[in-house]
Amino acid sequence: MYGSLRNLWALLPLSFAACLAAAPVHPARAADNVVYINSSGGTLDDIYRKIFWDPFTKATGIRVVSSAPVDQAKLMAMVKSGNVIWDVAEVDDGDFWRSKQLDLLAKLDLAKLPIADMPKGTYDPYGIWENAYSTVLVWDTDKWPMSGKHPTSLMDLWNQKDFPGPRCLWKDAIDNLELGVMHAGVPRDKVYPIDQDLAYKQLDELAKNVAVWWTTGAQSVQSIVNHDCVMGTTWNGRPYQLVVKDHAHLGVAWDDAILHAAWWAIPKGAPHYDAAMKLLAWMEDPQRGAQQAVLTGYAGPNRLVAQYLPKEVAAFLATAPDHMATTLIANDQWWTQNGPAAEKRFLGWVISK
Amino acid sequence: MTSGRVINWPRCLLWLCSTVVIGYLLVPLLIVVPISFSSGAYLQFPPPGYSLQWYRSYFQDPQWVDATWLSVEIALAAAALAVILGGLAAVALVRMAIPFKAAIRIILLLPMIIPSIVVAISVYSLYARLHLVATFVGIVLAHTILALPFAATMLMSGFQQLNRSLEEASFTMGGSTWYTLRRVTLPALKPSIAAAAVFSFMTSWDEVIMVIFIGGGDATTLPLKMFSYLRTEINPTIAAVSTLLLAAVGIGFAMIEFLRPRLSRARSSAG
Amino acid sequence: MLDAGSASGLMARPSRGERPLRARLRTAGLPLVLLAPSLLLIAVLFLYPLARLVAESVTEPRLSLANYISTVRDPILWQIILITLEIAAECTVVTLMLAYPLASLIASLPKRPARLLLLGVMLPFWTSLLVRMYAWMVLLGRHGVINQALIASGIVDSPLRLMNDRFGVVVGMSHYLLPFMVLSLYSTMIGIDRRLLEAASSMGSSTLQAFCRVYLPLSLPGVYSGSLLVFILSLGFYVTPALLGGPSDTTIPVYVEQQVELLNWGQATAMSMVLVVVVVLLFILYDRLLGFERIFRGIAT
Repeated sequence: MYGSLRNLWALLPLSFAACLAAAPVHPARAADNVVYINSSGGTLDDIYRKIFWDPFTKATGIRVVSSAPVDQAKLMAMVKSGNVIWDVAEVDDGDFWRSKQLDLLAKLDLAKLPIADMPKGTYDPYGIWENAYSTVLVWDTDKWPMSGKHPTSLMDLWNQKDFPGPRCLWKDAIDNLELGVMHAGVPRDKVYPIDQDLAYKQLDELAKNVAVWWTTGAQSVQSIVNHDCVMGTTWNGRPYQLVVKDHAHLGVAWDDAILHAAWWAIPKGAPHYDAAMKLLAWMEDPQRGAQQAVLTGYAGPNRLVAQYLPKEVAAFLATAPDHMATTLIANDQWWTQNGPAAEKRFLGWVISK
Repeated sequence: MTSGRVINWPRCLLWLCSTVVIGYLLVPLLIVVPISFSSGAYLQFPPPGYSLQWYRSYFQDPQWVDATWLSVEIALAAAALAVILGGLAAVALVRMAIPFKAAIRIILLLPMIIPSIVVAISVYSLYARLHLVATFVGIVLAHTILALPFAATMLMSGFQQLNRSLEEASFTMGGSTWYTLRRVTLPALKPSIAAAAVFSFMTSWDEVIMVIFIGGGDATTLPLKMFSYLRTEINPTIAAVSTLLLAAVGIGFAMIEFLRPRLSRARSSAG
Repeated sequence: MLDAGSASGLMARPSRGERPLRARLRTAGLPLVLLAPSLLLIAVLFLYPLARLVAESVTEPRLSLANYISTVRDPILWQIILITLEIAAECTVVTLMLAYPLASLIASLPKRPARLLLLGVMLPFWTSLLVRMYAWMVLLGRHGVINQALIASGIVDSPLRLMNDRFGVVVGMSHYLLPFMVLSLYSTMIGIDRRLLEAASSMGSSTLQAFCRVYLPLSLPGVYSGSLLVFILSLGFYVTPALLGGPSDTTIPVYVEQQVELLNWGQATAMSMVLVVVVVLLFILYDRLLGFERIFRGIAT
């Protein structure tokens, strides 16, 4: 690295030549045998490639180029600048409604999708569910094994008497506000609009025992594995993959979970609209949806998926009937409207903890 | 530091402090390397067992290897460009009288100060119009801008430090400007140029926020790929990638050290 | 490019008294030619898009300074700016303290061992920041390697809180920033003529005096550029404080990113501009207060 300068000069033109020769050129966009999809990436990407995208390419000849991560700002920048790269984009939760409001999405051709098999609310003229996921409680089974007394509800976050120890919570207003008012006794159907003052009173108490405020999805589970916390919140797919595949010492509690959804949408001005619709229809197929559920722990909206699922997997899904009985469905519209202000208030609150 | 025949306490202290600091620098590597050989499925330390599964998953996935090569190429290009442009700017700022010197220095530092996500969203629409999104050139230019503050600062302090009498001596002995530049100035600046190059390389190498916006798809860099993994799951593949890079650097360094005496012998014999 | 006839300011030609005005004007072109590529690149691909963003922040939805007013009035922003500056200052001081001895040692060693040590300093660069942060989580956690070692050796009875608070952040960030400081200091220290120190000691000064009176002042340009780099770099960290810090270790990039993702770009831009103003003011203060310009001029002549 500290080689003589002369050697360095010699390297420069060589490396430039190498770079130019190997430079990945942006492929011709007009060709309609390619479709660009943007999603969360990581292991989900790998799984989707295996069960959705490679089979899609085999069946239709349309190449699927994936990119990650999900970024709302990039979506807006893309659509605003008129140079849309993504044909299909994953949009989470409140971002979906915000994108609709800001006119960033193209109208879907719902006739091409199996919406007859989907519950209302899982599809929209501008988007369709990719999957549903719930915020659940995950805890360290080394401390409280499944055979003995163990946490059963997210309300146990406050339960220092039976389950003492540090917690880890998401450093975000989402879910925490809902958990706060639910702990104050507000019934599920009266959670929205959220009484933030009430929520913060409860959160003040909880915050005393929070050791980790996690910011990335993987962090909360990693903190429990590292024994920095004994329990915390996370999204159900994460512990599912670790417990089912890798036998991690984690337990999952579903009572008082909060349900969210991730949507597939087509950005306005996407260059390969038809290919995008084809891909969406492909991904909403129930058999493939079952594979998705088995491998990721997250299920799509198609009701028919249930018949292809093994029982053990069905029990892990956010939308499983016994889970839904005690699950709060997050009100994305409330979040779209009140999100920015709520997040600001939360940030101001959490930095003083 | 002077050395004498008695125990040189200051020097011992210096060595002690330095050892502690080097230890601090290298300790995380002692964690990363074993984890890369872990047979477990997520980050555990100590690893439950040992296996090459993460290396296999790295080499078997063309995307990982492509991303690595792309990052290397981009970082090399950005570093070269930043050092050249930064060097030119440093010469002008240090050696010459120009108006608004302070303002220009601040402008050169701006890319480091403004949060890169704001830079990213502002640059994106321009790139979109210029069709530079997800292109090699686009990312190199953006990384050059991010690296310029480093390169310029390092080279400015290098120029300031330069002993001008050496250059003056060269001129009085009849050397041309170009000769002086090549044989006196640049060699004396070697440490600063090298430091500027290394910083610029590393700035580009680790950069992820701008690439989220102006990269993606076929132009996925290593940090971008790692970033999306770390968001969803902490996968030891990235530990394997890091270990491979460490090994590559180590081997490269060893090779350079091994070849160095032969090269200098060849050079001195060539005159 | 470098014509021996006209490049009078580039190389240190012996001054022949005041150069005539015509000569000075003729050579005024050269600095601009040298600066042009950098400034052009920055102007076109950085300043221009930024200016558009700033323009939007004052014109959308209609012409008003609302974004800036609400940003300046936002107490959370100022809290976070303060936190960020605090963290940056702490990291700068820590890296300076740690890097100085190491850099001066390396600068005093012969080439081969020096290169080996420099390789050691730069090795961590090759592991990505994200991976290193997870290594620190393993090291600093409640049941992490360090705590386990401390408890096993009986130094403490219960685990120390090393992570999820400011200590963890500074340790993690300084680890990343240290090579920058070492290299900055080194590239200056290597140019310090050892014979000056020998001369000082031969004239009767102790090691400490030689250090304070000769070595330290000569190393200041490196201290200055290193501290500047490290400080400004620290302002942009968001991953490390998020993974290793506590809730109060929230930095500006986190706040700005939140606004960007909530599509409040006007606010995000306003916040960034406020940050720039604060940093530029600090930069000017730093320059003036510590008089580094004087030191530079002193060394250059």
